[in-house]
Amino acid sequence: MTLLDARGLVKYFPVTAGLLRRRVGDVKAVDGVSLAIEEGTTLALVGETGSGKTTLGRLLTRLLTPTNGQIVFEGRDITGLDEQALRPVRRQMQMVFQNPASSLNPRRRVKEIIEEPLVVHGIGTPVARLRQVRELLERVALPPRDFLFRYPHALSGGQRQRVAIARALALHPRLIVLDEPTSALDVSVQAKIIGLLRRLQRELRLTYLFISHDLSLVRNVAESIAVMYLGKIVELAAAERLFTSPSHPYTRALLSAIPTVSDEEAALIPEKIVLRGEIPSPSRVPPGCAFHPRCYARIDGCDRVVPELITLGDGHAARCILYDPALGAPGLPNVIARRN
Amino acid sequence: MAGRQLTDQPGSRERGNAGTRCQEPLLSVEDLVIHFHLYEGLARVINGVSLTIRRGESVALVGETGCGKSITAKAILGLLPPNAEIVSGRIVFAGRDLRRLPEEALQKIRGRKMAMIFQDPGTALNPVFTVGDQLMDVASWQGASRAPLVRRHNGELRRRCLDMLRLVRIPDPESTFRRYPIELSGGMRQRVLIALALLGEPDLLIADELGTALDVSIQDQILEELRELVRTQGLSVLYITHNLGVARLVSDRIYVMYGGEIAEVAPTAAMFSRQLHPYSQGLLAAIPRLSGSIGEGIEGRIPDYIDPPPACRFAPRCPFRMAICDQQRPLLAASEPGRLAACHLYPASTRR
Amino acid sequence: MAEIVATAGEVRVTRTREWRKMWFRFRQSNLSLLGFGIIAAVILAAVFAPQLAPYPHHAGIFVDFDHALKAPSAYNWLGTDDAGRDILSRMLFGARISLILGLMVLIIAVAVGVPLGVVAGYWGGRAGDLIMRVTDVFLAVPPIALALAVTAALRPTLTNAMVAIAFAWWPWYTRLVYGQVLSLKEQQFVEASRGLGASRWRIAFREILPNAWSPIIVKVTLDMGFVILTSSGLSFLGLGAQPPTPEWGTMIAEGRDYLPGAWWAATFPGLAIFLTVLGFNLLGDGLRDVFDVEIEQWRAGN
Repeated sequence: MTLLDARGLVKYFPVTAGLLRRRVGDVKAVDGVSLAIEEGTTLALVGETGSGKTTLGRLLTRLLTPTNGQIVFEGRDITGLDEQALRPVRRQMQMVFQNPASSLNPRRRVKEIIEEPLVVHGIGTPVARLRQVRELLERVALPPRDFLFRYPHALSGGQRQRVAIARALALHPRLIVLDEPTSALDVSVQAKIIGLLRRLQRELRLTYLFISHDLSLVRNVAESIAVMYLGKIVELAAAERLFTSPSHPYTRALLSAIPTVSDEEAALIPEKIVLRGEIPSPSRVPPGCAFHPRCYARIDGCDRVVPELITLGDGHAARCILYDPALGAPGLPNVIARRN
Repeated sequence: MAGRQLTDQPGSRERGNAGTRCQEPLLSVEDLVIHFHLYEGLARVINGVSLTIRRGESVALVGETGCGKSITAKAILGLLPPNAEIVSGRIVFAGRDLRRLPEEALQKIRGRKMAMIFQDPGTALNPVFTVGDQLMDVASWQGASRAPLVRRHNGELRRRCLDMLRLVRIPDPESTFRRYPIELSGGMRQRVLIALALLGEPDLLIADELGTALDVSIQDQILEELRELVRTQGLSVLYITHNLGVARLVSDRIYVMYGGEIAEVAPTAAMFSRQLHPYSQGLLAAIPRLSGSIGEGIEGRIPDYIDPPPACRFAPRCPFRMAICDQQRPLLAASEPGRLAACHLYPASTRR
Repeated sequence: MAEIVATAGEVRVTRTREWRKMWFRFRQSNLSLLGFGIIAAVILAAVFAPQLAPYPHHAGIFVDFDHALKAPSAYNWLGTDDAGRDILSRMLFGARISLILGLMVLIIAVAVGVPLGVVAGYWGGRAGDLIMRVTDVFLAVPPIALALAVTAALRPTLTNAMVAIAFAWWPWYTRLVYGQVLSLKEQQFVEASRGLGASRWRIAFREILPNAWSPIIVKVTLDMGFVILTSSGLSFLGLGAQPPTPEWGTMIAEGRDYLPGAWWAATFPGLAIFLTVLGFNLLGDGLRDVFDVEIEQWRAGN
């Protein structure tokens, strides 16, 4: 069952200038994104700075209001709901943030932090809540005895993230958006947190939207991966497929830059591709295909036509003119382009 | 009581044009012990760390948060906070014990012979001065032009700064010179930081978590360029990083650090093909693989430096823990040619 | 129930440890300790004035021209003023007045200024702009001038002086809190609370404000000195406490005419003001250093 369905999501932030704060342009943070997340699965959003993945995460949890587009959650259109109407919805979708140091209120103890969702929604008595907090702490493998009354600054990065996860679980949500949940953690701690997240997903039948810049991490976490560039999805595929047949030129470049730890690993990624230039600002998106100024497979027309997301078959799609059937779909070398 | 380091076998790779003539290490840290005076008590953070860097060699000091790698780097530069005390050990740079030098002499070395490339390009550059101003500023009190009285608008100085920007592959040095840091992208700023470090013509560069604030592709690019630069200039580099992938890319030799001690030392390729110390093994196993697996991580937490484990500091978390690990501290010793490990699994580490 | 009690014990233990840590850090600076000592002395003087003062009745209406303007002696350690009243005793009671006045002014200023700052900072928009512009207007006028104007308009009494100074003081707190809230509201734990569906009031006052207390406490401490200074200034000008109230400023006004001959009448009250302001400054600085370290440590993430 599709838990979350987003269609044509757009989020522009106006750029103002001058004394009267006239609008002179837009930061096109998210520029036409459609995706669907199946219940019980993990969808990963991957991208670099300016890709819009963080903004998209916040749009889907309605921490931001879309400029355009539609979000359907559990069959209900939540796009235009106001805060009051959103409150019950918020119980079903929660977020875990990147920086464990700042996502927990430094003045609150662990118990109060985890309890907050219950208090806000008026659930249970203080005694019942305390019991629930203890259960949640046990679930994230933090012995309540030691951790209930600590302040965040007395916790390690991994422990703080566990607290953040416990807090996210308090309301028994169905969807959890994880925004770079392990980027600030050491690799050995990351492994444990990922293990915890997977276990929780199995036990509680959770659905994850996993936002990350780390491709080798999402390979191990997600069933499907969406690669974003300047506000658009440029490639969408099942995890394994994305790595065995990366179709969009940007995806290949990203894969080629992954720092590998063995020759066997290095053999799994394309030859190193160095892209020209740097990522443009989302307020000055290049015309046509947003990636064309840096693309090594550019052809005539890339600077005029904004390519659609073209289905390559089996849930695999790429936004590149090279896969357009009307042009003969030449595709990238070494990649099999499948038509509709 | 501190672990004794046996010198590396001469078989290890030597890099750069200096390899043939200089056998004496450029930097030699010997049995460094540093304690911190905290409210809660005395934290014995650095517990006998030794490392060497030869001329033209790139060495990575790898470890996770709290292992003491940044503190080691700061100790080398003489930038420890006031509540830190270097209890014993030597830091020998180009034949001189840095601990014995007065502050003025240290300042001459710091920045000139030994330069740090800072971590966060976002904050390491002063936002109210242009890139050019900052480069010229550093160049002038490095005495880079060797003139006794250096004026700010010295043409030769300016040319030198521009050359430096070119060297770090900044596309339009002239216009970048006039820009403010905020107008540059993260990658550009990082390159400026590298240029700043190189102005003093150092022999040793210390790079602390280089590029972690940048996108992976940019970080990758910059590291590759830096590696090339270092090779052509014959510089030595100490890379402090928690990222093994980065270490693999840029270094000739890797020191793995845990709990304020060196756990293992090996040439890079050897380290990745096989790890000796259980901690290194756990670390590598925890890295997500493209083939689709991710390790278990390592149980437990970093040691409490105020009340550390009595002998091997990794013992509480080690899957191969034995009785002796709680009794005797393992020596960092050569268990096979060219490789050192501090672990009782290897007889060389256990005293008779 | 037993479970909750057991955990309450844990709470108490961690709390005392936090306090002791802060005291330890505070102790590191000699100047801070000096400030603490001075203020502790002033507070003790104020609280125990009736017991400590050799001539407590001199604080009120009392006249003894035979002993007017006597130099400091064994009978009157700090001498007597032009009405024959013991200066030391009056100063001790003056400490009461100054401290109480300072406290009242700041309570009003905080009670008015802080919520306004939170609302302006978190809600922003037109209301926020309005609040901040009004605040700017008040800030543009020097506190003393404003207080002067207000007291002159009302009858010159100590109470009115207090109201007047509070009137001039609240905008500083609004601005301080405004800045704090602006930066705090970008923190991720605020986003997290929003994601939970917490109401804006809850977030503004129960999440953000507790994080803004440190600078407020520091400012209150530093301000105590300046408020006392301001009120003494007003009293000196005859617009605050009226004779025979033994307010330090009033005492200086009364003793001014007799300088430099009977220097003690004006000098000792002046010294009292000086020491009190100094004490609060040092104490405030010390507190700021302690709180800053806490913030630094939290930021460093360890």
